[in-house]
Amino acid sequence: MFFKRERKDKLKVVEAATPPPAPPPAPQERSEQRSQIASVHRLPAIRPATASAADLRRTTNPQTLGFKTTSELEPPVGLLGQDQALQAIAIGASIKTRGHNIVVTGAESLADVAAIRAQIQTIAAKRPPPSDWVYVANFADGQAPTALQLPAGLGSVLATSVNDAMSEMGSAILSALRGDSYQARWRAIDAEFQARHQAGLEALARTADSHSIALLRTPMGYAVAPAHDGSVVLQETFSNMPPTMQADVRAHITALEADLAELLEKAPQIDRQRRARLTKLNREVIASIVRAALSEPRELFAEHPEVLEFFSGVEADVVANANHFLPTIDLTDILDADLSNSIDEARFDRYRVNVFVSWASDANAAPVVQEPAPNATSLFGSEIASGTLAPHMRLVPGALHYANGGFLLLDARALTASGQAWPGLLAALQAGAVCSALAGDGSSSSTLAPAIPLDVKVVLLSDAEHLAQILSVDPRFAELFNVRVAFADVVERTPETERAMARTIAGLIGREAVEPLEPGAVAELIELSSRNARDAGLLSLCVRDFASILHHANARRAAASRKLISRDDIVEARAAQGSSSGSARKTASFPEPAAIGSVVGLKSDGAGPRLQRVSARVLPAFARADTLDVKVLTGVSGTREAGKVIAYLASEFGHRHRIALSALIDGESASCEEESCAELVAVLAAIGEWTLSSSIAIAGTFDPSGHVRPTGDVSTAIEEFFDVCRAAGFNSDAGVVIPKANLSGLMLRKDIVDAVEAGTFAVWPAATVTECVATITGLSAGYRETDGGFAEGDAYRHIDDQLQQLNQRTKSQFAVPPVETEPRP
Amino acid sequence: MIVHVAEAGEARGRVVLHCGYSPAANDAALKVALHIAKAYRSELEGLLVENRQILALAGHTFAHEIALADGAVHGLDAGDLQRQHRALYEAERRHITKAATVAGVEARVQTVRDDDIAALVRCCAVLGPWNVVVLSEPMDGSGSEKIGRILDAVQDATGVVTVPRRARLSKGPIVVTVEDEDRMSTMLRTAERLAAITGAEIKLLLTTAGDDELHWLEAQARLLVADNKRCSIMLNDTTSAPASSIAGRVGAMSASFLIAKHGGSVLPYEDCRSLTSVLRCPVFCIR
Repeated sequence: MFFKRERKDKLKVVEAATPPPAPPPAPQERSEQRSQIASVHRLPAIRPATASAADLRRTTNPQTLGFKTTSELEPPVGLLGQDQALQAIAIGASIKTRGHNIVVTGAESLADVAAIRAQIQTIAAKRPPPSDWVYVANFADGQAPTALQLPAGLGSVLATSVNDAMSEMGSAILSALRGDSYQARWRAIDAEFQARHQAGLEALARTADSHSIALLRTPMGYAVAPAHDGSVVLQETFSNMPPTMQADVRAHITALEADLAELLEKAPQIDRQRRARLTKLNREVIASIVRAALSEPRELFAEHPEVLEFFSGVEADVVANANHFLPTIDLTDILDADLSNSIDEARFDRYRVNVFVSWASDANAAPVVQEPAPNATSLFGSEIASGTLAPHMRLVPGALHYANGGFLLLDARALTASGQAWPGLLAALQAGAVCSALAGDGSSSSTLAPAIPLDVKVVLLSDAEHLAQILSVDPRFAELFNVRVAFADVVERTPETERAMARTIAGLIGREAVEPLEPGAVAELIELSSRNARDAGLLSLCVRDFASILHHANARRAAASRKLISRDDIVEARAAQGSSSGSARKTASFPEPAAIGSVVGLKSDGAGPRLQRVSARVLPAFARADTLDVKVLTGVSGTREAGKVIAYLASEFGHRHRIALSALIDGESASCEEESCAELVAVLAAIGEWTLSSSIAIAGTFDPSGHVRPTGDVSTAIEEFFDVCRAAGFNSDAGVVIPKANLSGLMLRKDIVDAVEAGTFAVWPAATVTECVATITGLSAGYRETDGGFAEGDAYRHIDDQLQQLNQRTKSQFAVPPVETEPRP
Repeated sequence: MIVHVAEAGEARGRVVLHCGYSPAANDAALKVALHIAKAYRSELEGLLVENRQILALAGHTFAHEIALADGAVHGLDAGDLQRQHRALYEAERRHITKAATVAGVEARVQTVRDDDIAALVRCCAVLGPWNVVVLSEPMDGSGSEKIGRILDAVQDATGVVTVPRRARLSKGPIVVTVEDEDRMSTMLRTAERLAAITGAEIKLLLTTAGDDELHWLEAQARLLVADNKRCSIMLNDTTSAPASSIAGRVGAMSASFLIAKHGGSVLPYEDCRSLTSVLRCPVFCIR
C-alpha cells in the first residue's frame, strides 16, 4: 500500500509538469503537442515514420498450413530444427577414440532425449555386440575373483553348464558312496587299521594272561596288575609272595606297561594314517567324478583357454577339498552317514558362475543404456553383504557394466549431485577400466575383484549453465568430454518450418490426448511459438508449455460441444494461463517523473526487460578548460568513464571548438560496459536543457559513429512499456524508439498491434542516434554545414550552442588557459 | 516291567544298561537301550559299575595307568580313582536320566561297586528273570567271549545287546539270522517288537548247511511268517557260503538291528572280528 500511494504521488507530479492526458489526437496535432511537452527551446517539429502494424507481428496464414484438422497430419519424423545437433551426436558417437564422450546441452524434453537415444541406437546398430562378463572363483586368492570375457550369450551357457556339472557331481558322489566297490575299499582300509590296533591290544592281553597279569580298563585308560584266577591279587597277598616272584611279576608288569604305552602312543598316528588312506580313496573317487562331470563343458568351451583354466581350477579344488563334498564332516565316518538324502548343492556354490553381464546370443548391436538415477551403486554396481556367498557371487553389475562396449546416457545434474558417482565415472573413463562396486570413499569395494576393461561412450545430458560449472570444477571433464553438442532453442521461421511445427503440435496433441485443432488454432500456436522465440523470424522449439494451453482449450471446446479446438479456444486458454501466471508477477512501476536531462530507457538483458528513468547532469569541466569528462554511476559512490558517449560527443561536436564539460549519468549501464541510446540522449537532453516526455521510451545501444545497434528481446520490452503506460494513464501519444534492426523480429501482442493501428501507441525504428534524437524531440537533429556547424533550428545546433556556452563558463573558471598537449581527435 | 512279560503274569523284567569305564564313548548304546525300552514298553535300569578289581589294583604301590589318549604312564592313586569314578558316574547318571526323559522312558540309575558280571547278576536277579542287558562297552573282536560269559552267568537275562564302535540307529531292515527252528519264533517276535517302533522291514536270513536242511527251515519260517508282508525270507547255505561271508552280507544290508543266536555261525563264541569290522548296527544276542 505504501508503494502504491507513493507511486500515485509521483504520477501527480508528472501530471503537474505535463499536460493532462487527452483523447488520442490526430497525427498532425501530435507534433504540436509534443513541442509543448518538450519545450524549453521551441524548435520546428518533425514527424518521424512509425512502424506499421504489419511490421509488429508476423502472422501465419492458416490456409498455407495445408490441412483441415490436425488429425490429418502425420506424426513428426525426428526433431524439428535439431538436424545439426543430431548429426553432431552421430559423428561424436562414431568416433572410437577414448575421450570423445559427448555432452549435449539444451535437450530438455522427453522427445529430445528419445531422439538422441534413437540417433545413438542407429550408430550402435553398426557396432559389434558386447561381450558377456562373468565372475568366477579365483582358487589362488579367494578374495580376488576372476573376471572372464566371453562372446555374447556364452556367459549364461557357462553358468548353466557349470550348474549342471555340479548337480551331476552331487548325485554321482552320492552314488559312488553308496556303491559296493567304494564301501568295500573303505571297509578294507578301516578294518586294516582297526585290526592293527586291536590286534596289538589283544596280543598284550594274551601276554599278560600268560604271566598271570590282568589288563584292566580304567576310567582314563588301562592298567596292569598281578592276577590269580581272573581276579586282581591284593597288595597284602602280593607282599607275602616270595621276593623273587614279586620281582619277576614286577618286571613283567613294567614290560607290559611299556608295550602298552607304546601301543597307545602310536594310536593317534595310526589313526592319522588311516584317515590319510581314506582321504586318498575319497579323492580318487571324487577326481574321477569331477573329471566326468566337466568333460562336456570342456568340449563346449574348448576354444576359450581361460574357461578351461577355470575348469582345471575347479577340478583341482574339488579334489583337494574332497571332504567338503561328503555327507558328514568326519571323512572317516562316511559309512555311518545318512546317504538317503542328496548332497546339499550349496556346497558347490564356490564353483558357480556369477553371470555379471549377459546378452542374448543373437545380439547384433552395441548396447545403449540410459540410467535415469545415476549414483555410485547404479553406475558401478554393488556388493551383496553376505558372509555365506562366495566373494565372486556377491558382485552385482551397474549401468557402466551393462553399457560396456556401447553407450551410456546420463543426466549431468543427477550425476554430479550423487557424491562419488561423478569422480568415479571420470576416473573410470580416464583409466579405461571399471571396478565392480564402488566403496563409500570412491575406491573399489572390499572384494578385490579385478577391474573390467571399459569401452563405453558416455552421453551426458546437461544444460549450458551446469556445463559451465562442471567445466570449471574438474579439468578432467574437458579432456574426457570433448564432443559438445548444443540443441537449438529456435529455428528460422519459414513456411516449411511452420508446417513442421504443425506436425510437432499434432504429435503433442496425440500424446496429451486432446481433440484435434483447426488450422487457425495451429496458426495461433505457431505465432505463440514465434513470440516465445522473441523474434518474428524464429520459432521456439520448446513446445512443452503448449500442453497446458491445449488442455485449457480442450476444456473450452468440450464446454461448447465442438469437435475441433478453435483459434479462439487457444487465445482464451492463453489469456487464462497468462492471467493465472500474471497474478503472481510483480507489475513494473512507471519511472520517475520527467525532468531536464532525463529519458525513459528500455533495456533487455538476460534478466528480462527493464524500464528505467535515465538521467544526466552536465556541468562545466572541473579540472581543465578542455576536459570532456562523462561518467556513469556504477554503485553507491562508484563511477566509470562513459567512453562511447565521450567519443560520440567529440565526433559530433568537437569539430569547431573544444568541448569542456563534466557529465554524470545515472542510468542503465551501471552493471555493463556499454552505454545505451537512452543514456546518450539523456546527456544530449541535459546539454540542451530539454525536458523530454516520459511517454516515449528508448531501447538499444549505439556505436561511436552514431549507428543504433540492435538489442535482445525488444518485443517483451515494448510490451512491458505498453502495459506500464496504460497503467499510468498514457492512453495515447506513447511509444518506443527501437533499433531499426530489431523491427523485423518484432512479435508483439495483438492488443499492442491494435493500439498502433488505432494510433494510440507508436513504435519508431531508428537506425542512427540522430533519428533517435529527432524522434524523441520531434525536431530535426541537424546536418553539418560546410563550416562544420549545424543549420539554424536543428536540435544539434542548439546543443552545439549550449556546448559553446559551457566552454565559455569553463574558461572563465580557469584564469590561466590550459597548456595544449596534443590535438583533440 | 516288560509289558509282554507282565501280561504273561510275571511282573518283572527291565532293560538294563550296563556301563563300564568308558560310558561317554557309548552314546549309541544309550540310544539303543532307550529304543528297546520303548519297543518293550519297559523301564530302563542304568547300572554303573565301579570295578572292584580296579580299586584293588590301585592298592599296589607299583600300579600305573596308561592313558588311552596318548599312552602316557602315570601313577594310580586309589583316592584319585574314586573321585574320577564319582565324577564320571554322576555325569553319566544325569545324561541317562535326561535322555530317558526326552525319549519318554522311565529310568532309574544305580551305582554299584562290584565285579562287572557279578554286578549284572545281582541286578538282574533283583529285577526278575526277563531282563535285556545292553552293554555300554563297544563290541570288539573278543566281545563275543564276554557276551558268552554274561549269558552264562546272568540267568535272569533273556538277551544281551552289544553295540559296535560305529553303530548308529537307522531305518534299515531288522535282520534276523535264524540257524535252527527252536529259536525262530522267539527271534521273530523280538524283531516284530523292535520293528513296531520304526516300521522297519524284517529280513529272516535262514542260515544252515545243506539244501534239505535249508528248505525245511524255510518251510517252517514261511509257516511262521504267514501273511506278514513286512517280513521277507533269505537263504544262506553255509556249505557254499562260509559263515564269515554272512557278516559281509549283513553289513551290506545296512541293517538297523541284527538279531542272532550267540554261539552260532554268525556270532561264534570265540572270534567275531569279521562281524564287528563290517557291522554298523546293534546286535541282539539271544541264548
